[in-house]
Amino acid sequence: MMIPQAAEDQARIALETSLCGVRLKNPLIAASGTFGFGREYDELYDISCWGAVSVKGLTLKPRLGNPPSRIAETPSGMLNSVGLQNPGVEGFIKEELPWLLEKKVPIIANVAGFAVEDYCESVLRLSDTAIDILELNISCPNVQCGGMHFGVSPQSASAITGAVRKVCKKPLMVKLSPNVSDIAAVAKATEEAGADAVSLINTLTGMAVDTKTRRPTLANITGGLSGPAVKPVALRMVWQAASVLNIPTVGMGGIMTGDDVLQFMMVGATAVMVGSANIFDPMAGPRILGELLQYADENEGVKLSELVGSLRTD
Amino acid sequence: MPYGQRAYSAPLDRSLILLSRTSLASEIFELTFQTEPGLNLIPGHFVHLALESFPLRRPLSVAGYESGSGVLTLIVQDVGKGSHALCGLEPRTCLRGLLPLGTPFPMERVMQALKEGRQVWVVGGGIGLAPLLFCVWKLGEAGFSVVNFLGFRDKEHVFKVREFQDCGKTLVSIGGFVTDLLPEALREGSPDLLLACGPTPMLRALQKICAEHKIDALASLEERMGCGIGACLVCSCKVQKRASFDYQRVCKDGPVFDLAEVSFE
Repeated sequence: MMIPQAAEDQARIALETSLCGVRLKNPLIAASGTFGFGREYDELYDISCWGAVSVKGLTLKPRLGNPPSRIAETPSGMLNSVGLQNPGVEGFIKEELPWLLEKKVPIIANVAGFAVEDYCESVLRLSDTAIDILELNISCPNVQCGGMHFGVSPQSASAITGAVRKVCKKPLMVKLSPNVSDIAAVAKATEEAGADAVSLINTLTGMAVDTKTRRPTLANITGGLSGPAVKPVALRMVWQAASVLNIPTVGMGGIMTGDDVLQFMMVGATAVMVGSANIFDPMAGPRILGELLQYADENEGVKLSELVGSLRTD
Repeated sequence: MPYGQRAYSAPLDRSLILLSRTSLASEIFELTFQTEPGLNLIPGHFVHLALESFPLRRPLSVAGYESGSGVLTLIVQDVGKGSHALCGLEPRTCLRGLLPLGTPFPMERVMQALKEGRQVWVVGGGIGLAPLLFCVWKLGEAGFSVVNFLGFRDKEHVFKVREFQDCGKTLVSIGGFVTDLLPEALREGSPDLLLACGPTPMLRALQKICAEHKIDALASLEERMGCGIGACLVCSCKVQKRASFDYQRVCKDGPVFDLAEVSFE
């Protein structure tokens, strides 16, 4: 991208936004699960170019995750079944958070759990740290009781959100599962239970079969589908959720380009998360940011935040 | 023996221009690419190659690299959809590849052992010979020799034997198990270090032999990968740590592991 410095500075201002009172220099957030704690990508580029980083899903105790194979390629996408391998909340606070804080990028702590009690304990502990936003993961499809059972009905989503809200001293964002029949109802239930924002969609449960061996490609049999294959579903769900909410919606699902980002913002996303794209293209973050800067430069005067919910359906 | 040496060099997404494609044997192709000269590429490193119309990149062991010219060699077996597309590319095609990636073979340690007069064996099977080819190239270049044990499925799949012979005595197994060659060789003495790469059954058999004879062995492993840089945690392998086990990342902590610690289940 070749735009003069002054124009680029102008374009950067056009990308600024905020989420739950946290200032984001742009609406791009590294999605939880594809980005680790940022260290590996920081070897490739300065990760502070992101608007925010959502870290690998954390559980109260460390977890080894599922046995391999944990990944399968699918048409325009991928399935994964990592199963929340993570160092646990304390491991994150000791080993990863200090480094991440030095990067001066807003930090979203993604928390998964198995029961209301361990969600609350994790959230309580993380509330005393310098993280910026807490993302309550009630939608991991890869672990039995990995939280998804909380996310599949408005009643259970409301119950867990309400319980966590009581102990959470940070802005609370609830990450929703697409494996539901009425996304708007689940989203509304979390808002009414005290969520400050919602993020969606987590992966769609799927599977793949190796006909040579007659075995599932994933050792876990099922996994979470992500990538461009899910983008139309994600857009529809973000639109449905944002239409009924008064709190911000963070959109994700198959975002690969700057134009994808604009689509999610137009259907109502205040900010977006980029996941699988990091796996397909390790430079996806800076590349998509460049595409947004170019858009802002070509459409002088437009502020990206003004595009939120600007979809015309008349 | 703790295996913790890391030869560090920052990975970058680089251009790779296909220079040549040569059929070496049935299903086996040698591809050479023009990339940047002067890279710190070490045997055991791999490149994560982006292919048009495939979402996931393909990890491929570096089979050779000339630092002066920047010519990179990969050896690919045409077995899946991705490798089939790769083997069908026309010269001058430009690809993107993230490299160098992974924790490679500790070549300084290998060379030090050889300098001290110790013996190093190289054991490989099939397409697993790719990273070992780079090993013997580097060792031969430095004037060292090793003993090679090479296994091939059948005579149609034999490749690059001469290159291994250039770096020392080379025993070849065709149609059987390459590890069946080891007991007889071991009667004349054990090596101090063994470098290996090949199919899981071969590595499993090798692990048993090395344990019995107390041989330090380093093996390059293969697993389906996602990001290739250690962030996404999909390419885990089970590694034994004292009483418990741990999942380590083949792409970052490996692909070269202490064979004794790897759990094959």
